Amino acid sequence: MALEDYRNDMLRCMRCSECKWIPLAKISDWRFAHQCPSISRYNFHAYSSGGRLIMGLSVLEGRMDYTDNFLDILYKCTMCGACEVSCKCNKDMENMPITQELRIKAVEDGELLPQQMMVIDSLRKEDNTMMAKRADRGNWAEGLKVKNITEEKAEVYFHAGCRYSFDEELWPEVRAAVNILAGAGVDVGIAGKDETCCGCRVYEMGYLGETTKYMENNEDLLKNAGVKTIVTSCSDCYQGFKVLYRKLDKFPDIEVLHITEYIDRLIKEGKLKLSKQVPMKVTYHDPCHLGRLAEPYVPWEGEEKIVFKQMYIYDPPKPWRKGTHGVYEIPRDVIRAVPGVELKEMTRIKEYAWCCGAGGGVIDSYPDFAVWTAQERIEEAKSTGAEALVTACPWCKRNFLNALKESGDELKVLDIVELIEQSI
Amino acid sequence: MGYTKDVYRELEDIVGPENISDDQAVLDGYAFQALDGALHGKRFFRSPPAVVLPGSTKEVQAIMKVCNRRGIREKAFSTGYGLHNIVGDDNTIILDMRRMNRILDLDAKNMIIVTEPYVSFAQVQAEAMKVGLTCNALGAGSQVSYLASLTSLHGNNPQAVSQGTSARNLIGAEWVTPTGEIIGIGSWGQGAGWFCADTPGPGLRGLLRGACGHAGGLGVFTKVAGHLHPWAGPSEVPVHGKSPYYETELMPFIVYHLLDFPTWELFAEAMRKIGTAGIAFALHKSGGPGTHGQCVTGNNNEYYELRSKGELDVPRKSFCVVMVGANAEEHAWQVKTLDKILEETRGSIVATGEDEMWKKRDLLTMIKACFIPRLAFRSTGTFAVDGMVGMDTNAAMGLGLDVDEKHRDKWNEQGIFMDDGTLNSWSITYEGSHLALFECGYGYNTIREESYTGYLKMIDEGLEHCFNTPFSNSWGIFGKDRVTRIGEACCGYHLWMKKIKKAFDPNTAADPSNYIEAD
Repeated sequence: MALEDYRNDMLRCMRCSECKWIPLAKISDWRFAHQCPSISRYNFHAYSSGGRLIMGLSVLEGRMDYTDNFLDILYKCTMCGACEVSCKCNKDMENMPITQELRIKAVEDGELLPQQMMVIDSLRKEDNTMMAKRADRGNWAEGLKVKNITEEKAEVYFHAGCRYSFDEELWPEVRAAVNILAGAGVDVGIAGKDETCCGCRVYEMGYLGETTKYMENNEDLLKNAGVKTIVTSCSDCYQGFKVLYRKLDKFPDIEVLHITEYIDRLIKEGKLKLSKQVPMKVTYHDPCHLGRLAEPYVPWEGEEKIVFKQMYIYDPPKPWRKGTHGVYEIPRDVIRAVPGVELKEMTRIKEYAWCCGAGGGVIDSYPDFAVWTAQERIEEAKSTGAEALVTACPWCKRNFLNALKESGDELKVLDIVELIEQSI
Repeated sequence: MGYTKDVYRELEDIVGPENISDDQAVLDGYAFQALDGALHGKRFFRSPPAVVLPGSTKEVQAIMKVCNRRGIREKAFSTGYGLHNIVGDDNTIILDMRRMNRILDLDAKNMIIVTEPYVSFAQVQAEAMKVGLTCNALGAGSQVSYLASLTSLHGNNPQAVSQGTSARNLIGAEWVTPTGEIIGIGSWGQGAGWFCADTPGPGLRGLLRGACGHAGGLGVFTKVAGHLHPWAGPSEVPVHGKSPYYETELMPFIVYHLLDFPTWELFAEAMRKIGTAGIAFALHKSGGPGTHGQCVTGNNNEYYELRSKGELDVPRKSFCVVMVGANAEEHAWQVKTLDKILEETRGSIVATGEDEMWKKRDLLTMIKACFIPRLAFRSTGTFAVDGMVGMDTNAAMGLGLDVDEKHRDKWNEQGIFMDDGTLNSWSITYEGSHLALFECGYGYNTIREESYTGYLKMIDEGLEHCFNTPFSNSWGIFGKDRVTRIGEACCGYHLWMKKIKKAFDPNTAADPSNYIEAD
């Protein structure tokens, strides 16, 4: 789909501002009623999803050309998809894909955001978005007794992802994930230094060509390895394998599971016993890429049709992505399975969870905005009385840690895997 | 005199560089208005030369002084939703009030809440319910500004039957006049707190609101004290299900019914009796499947499928009522009273509204106004009032609906709007049944030229009905020409508006384009 294909959606925006709030039915607290980090931080309407939709129409109508400010507005969005959930609760129109297509168009037109170029150069030269050396990619797994799928067959491929591969502070979690799988008897393998980026994050920056390239790389890797299941602890990678690759229509039919889904399976099959008490009040942050953005992709081709004289419907019916079929209950089930843990929910959860702030390239391009967004979430987490903010994505954890370092707040940030590890 | 880069720099000094912009990428967000704008086949109208985000009353005052000194104008808004938010000329800047977004006080004992401009109805209601109160969740949707409705526009809603309309809920305000004075309205104006709208401070409520609000034409309101109302339901309305199928529970002592009547006269009489008896928490004329049927379905295809099977049929002369009893005794009295009213007006309970799913979803929006954008926009892209709107007596409401029925059926033959199979208008009684609203609106297709151009003609004809009948306080009529016409028909109130504008805005620093000019 190109920007032009969304013209009718842009024309249907009534500027009602619903995209700025969590679904209206769910507002139960003044303080935590807002949904979109971008408009909440920058305030001009252009920074809302509706505002970017107006920008898209303005571009199509030739009213506006690229300026530094245009790109600034376009990229100061975490692509968290919260706007989609709120808007589509009450309307039949696309929303977030318009920002996505605007970004792709900007890149195609050669209008690149300077702050992103280090990430893109790193990807092109070193196959990762972390400005690190390709040769160091497998260092996180040093000493682990685990197969390498480029050398021997394994049923399950564990994909670490760029963040876990190169963010040393987070290595204990990713190593724990592999140990949990192996300890439960799973035939698991990694790709070590031969693993490459999934391409998901640069897709959100508008680099469709790079995404396609890395999708094909991963497709080759997995075909050659003959794995049946991909497991990852990174929610971004999970969404890439499960949703984005299928949207781009080139990925083989391999089971894709997030580590929380696999752990849940192991617990329910009795292959993983959680016996040690972990007495702690925790709250759970839904990563956007495991939650609303992980809703399975269902391809659709069709057209608008007019009925009842002027009402529009879609023929065949359109499978709307409303964010409600993401992975929400499983991480909570896993947390509740840890003896002694008490789960306290925040106000904004599941499909209308507030973003951590790291997505859409924001953590690299606008680190101050990323931290601001994380701090807003930390405030919400603290309001529950929880001792720890638990999440299931290394990007969320990294951004929360950055925010806590800056603010000096006292709150533990844990990955679900760490809770499991403490309980085994 | 007029807007220049020097003016920009002066404004920048007031709000800081992050809170002002004259970049086209920002300005287009304020030139775009599709609600009513789509009727004209376009989305972009006049751009303001700059947009400013004030963060305090002092900043608003300073901006207003710049406007007077430099011969420019301002227009303030919050969500900025509707064509009346477009600036009237090239020298009018916009004040987007988003940064002023706090609830300042909630006085549960006196049932008053004090907010800044960018606090929504949903936020006010959520906090109020925690202490057994609620607010008049607006018919424009609970995402819009509480302050803007109370101070600057007219807002009606299903809960007006128990809580009145915008004007009645305004207890006090902090007003930065077009000349830059800060005036406290009501008891607050005398430093006595926010408890009384008209005394001992100056009773300016009627003056500043006029018939239906000044739509940004009379300065800026930076704080509002609003009237809250008793809420006997739970401190947080239970909401289950996944989007878009959110629904509430059937709660003790809370009753929802869809009611049908044989004639418009009996319809209006039943509304009057319910209003007089004071048994309703919320009440609303059920538009056809075009409104409440949309509410209970998740998308247009689902709606189309169900309505094609006849599952969403709603009678023309029907309305929904919600009663909230504080206890078993009050509940029993409400039920008994409603039964008696139905007997006297030959009304009946419609089976469609008794379906559990329908009840749980429609009840939710009758309480929280959470599905309004769905009702108004989903089916065709948007709706517009067909020219027929009025706030008058219950009898006039019945008359208005009768006139509109013919108006609607005539234009329906041309196929210019969505045929929902019924009369998709809204109406409600309020002020103890002394007043009533009718507002007739249909869904036109915002993309198809035949629809929006045809609908514009239908509006022109509807306005003539409205001007000629006339219905007093025909709100939603913006701009000098239309305000003058309806003013001439209704006690000459436009002449008072001109005098007020002249007295408070001698330099025309507040954009008069959707209010009135002093001449």
